[in-house]
Amino acid sequence: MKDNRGLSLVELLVGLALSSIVLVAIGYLLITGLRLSGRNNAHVEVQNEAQTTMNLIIDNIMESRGICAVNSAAGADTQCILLGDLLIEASGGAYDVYFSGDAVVTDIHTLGADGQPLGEMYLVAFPNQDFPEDGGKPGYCKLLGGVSVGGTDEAVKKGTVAQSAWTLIRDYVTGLSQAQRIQWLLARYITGCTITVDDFDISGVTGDYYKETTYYWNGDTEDTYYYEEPMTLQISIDLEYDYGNGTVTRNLTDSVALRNRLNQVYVGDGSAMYEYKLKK
Amino acid sequence: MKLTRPFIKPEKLNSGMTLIEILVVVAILSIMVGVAGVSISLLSSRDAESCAKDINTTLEAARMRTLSQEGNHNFVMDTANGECEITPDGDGEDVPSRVTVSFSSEGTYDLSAHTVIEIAFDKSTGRVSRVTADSVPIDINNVNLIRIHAVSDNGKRATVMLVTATGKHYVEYG
Repeated sequence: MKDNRGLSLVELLVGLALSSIVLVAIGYLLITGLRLSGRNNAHVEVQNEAQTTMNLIIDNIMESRGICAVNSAAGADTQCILLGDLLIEASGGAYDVYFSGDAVVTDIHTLGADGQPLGEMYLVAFPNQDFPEDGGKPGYCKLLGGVSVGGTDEAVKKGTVAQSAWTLIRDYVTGLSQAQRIQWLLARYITGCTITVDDFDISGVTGDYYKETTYYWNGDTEDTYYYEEPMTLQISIDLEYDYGNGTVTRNLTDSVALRNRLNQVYVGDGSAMYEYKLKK
Repeated sequence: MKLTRPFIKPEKLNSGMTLIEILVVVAILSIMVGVAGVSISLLSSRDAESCAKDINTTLEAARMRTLSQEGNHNFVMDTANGECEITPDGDGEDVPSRVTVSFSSEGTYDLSAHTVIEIAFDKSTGRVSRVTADSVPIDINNVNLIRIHAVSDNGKRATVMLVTATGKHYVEYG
């Protein structure tokens, strides 16, 4: 006689219950592992992004022979910093502006195609850009020609011109479409970027930056702005990366001292920009 | 006459599965797992996305090694052989046979006709310092953006973008 009895219902149910418990446990382990690896990848990605960006910016700042920036301590996010030779030359009562160097531009607010802020940072090399101004000099890009500004103080007038050049470059980059800007892409996932000039306090007399007024015999006065070496910049970059199961945020802050002899220093305090001279 | 008692089975049957049965089940299960694993790996390796990711990872490794280690660590992409590697280190990835890789570029020089490009990075900044296409050096000022397209047989595509001025690179899907 052959035994044809199979498993009883109870046995089957117990077996199913046991196997489902085991399967759930395995699935849980798998999902946890995947999630963990996703998060770790995101951390590595963001750290890499922040580190390489910071290295490139610091390298640029240390090499640069001139600087034009708006101090973030006084204003909002720094959207632009010009590193290199910003020549402002007087010609017949007006000014011509030439630039050779790199511009670091951050665009946090413009919305991309997906409706989310772009959060991108660009590094634009001059003189490789096509600006409509003619009559440039070799190795330089002519940004502006024949700019006339009112006032008497040379430092204030040149500073005002520098600010127009700064605004021009910033608006030039942020005015282009995302596809056009990609050729300068330096970093993505940026939610904030500030560049602060250390101990920048133009109204204070004891700071590293101060104003001196010269009185002439005919009653005229002229303001000159000075800075003391070394000029130190504090750079802070915020990144946020969405990896699907959450977001990773990262802040990288570093300070860098400019050791080169700077040819031009233009620093704005949010409302105006001045030309600074080295106090010897 | 001697009555032979018919064989009566014991009330309770304690015999389990035989060894043969267990072996057969295990064999079938392992075959199923094997087939599933192979098909999953085939599916994913066919994907243009994972191919572009591999290329991007190799590019990142070449850049990071150039920044942190001594000597040259150049990225070489050979579309004819379907492989990308870091020279002279020799590490790299093979492009799956179902994915086709091609180049294009932004700027005055067009890279799309070339089959092999070699990219070198700057040791201090990580920018692209040198591009060689089919053994011919290309002026870096004429190439703003290098695209490495991976297109799979089923039409899926992903692109590795490399910005030469900054050395920044990433994968764009779709």
